[in-house]
Amino acid sequence: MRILVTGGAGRLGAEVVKLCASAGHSVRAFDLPNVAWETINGLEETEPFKGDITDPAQVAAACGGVDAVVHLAALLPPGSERNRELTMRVNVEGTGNVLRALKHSRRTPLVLASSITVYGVTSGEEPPIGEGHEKKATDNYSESKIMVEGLAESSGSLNTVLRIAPISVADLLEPPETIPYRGDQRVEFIYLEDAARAIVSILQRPETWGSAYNIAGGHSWQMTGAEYIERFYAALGVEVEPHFSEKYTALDWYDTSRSRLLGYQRTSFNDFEDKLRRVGEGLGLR
Amino acid sequence: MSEIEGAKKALQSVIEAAQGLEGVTEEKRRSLLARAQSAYNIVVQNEKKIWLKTSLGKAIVNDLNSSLVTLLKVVEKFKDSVELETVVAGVEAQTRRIEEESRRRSMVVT
Repeated sequence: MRILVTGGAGRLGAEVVKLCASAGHSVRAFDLPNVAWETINGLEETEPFKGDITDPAQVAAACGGVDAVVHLAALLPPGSERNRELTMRVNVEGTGNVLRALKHSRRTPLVLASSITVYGVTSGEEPPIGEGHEKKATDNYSESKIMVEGLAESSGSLNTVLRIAPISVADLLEPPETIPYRGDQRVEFIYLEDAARAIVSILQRPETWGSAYNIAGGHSWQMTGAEYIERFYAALGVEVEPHFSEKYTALDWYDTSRSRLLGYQRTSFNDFEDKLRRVGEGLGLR
Repeated sequence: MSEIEGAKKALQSVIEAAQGLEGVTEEKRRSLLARAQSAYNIVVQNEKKIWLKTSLGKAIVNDLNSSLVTLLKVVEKFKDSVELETVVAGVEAQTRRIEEESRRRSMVVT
């Protein structure tokens, strides 16, 4: 299969590109020229395509001759909250460009990365939050993702929407000045490789196309914000004094019973902690 | 005193020495001051980063401190602008590494 991955040089994109290539697919990775291409440069069966998702001609060229598209290119928080106009241009118009490029090949499967933030603040509700939950924008990013889902739905394309939980990377990451959720808030993240695995699994299962799925870590990843931060940094071997948001934010526990058939939840939170411990040792923190 | 505190002190000394620097044009003296102040600001903005405690962070700060020792000597015993430019550029390269690593390690929640 020839697969186009937009945002292909990003953290999740590069992981998807690597997984697709290792599964024997031919991959075209589309991303801005000035991003870090090192991760995927030199990968076999991978063609770098440097372009801008807001440029319809470049997107049309990138979509040429592919059998499937994974659309990940987007402006993410906190950058997305600094400039609403740019966020809408990149996230919404960018998706429009992809949908227009696929207008004449409506049977080309399109996997769209959305976000669990489309459900809004649900902390006052009974978890887990399922795919049928109403959508409510809380910031530029979630607003753009709700619009993206609407565009895809009305386009008549063969699209599959993945509402992905925040992604955890097994590396030392600096906590922001204010952690963007409360300490007592329910949170559920997903390990980077598992999120990429969900995307690749979708591509390989036509019976799953044309629907929306929650993609999150599963039971072992369901905890409070304070527990997540404490376990994350304890595993790395560092002490932090986090300052949590005072407001509940758009993060909760999610119902992944529908997406579980994709077989992507392979990394428990204990496994993730083991990875972090090894990172901490490698960095001389433990 | 920690290595990062040492870098801050060294940069403060460079700024003080640069204020009284003789044998250069006013424009070059101001430029040196601005560049040293910018390097100092980067160090202050990043001094609490966890990654500075890693082996990589310690190595980068050690490199910065070595560059700053050289810079301070060059500023205190100023001879020519070419040598000064080379050493200042070396310090800026180290502080850019600090900025870049902090950016790369910032936690993003989507």
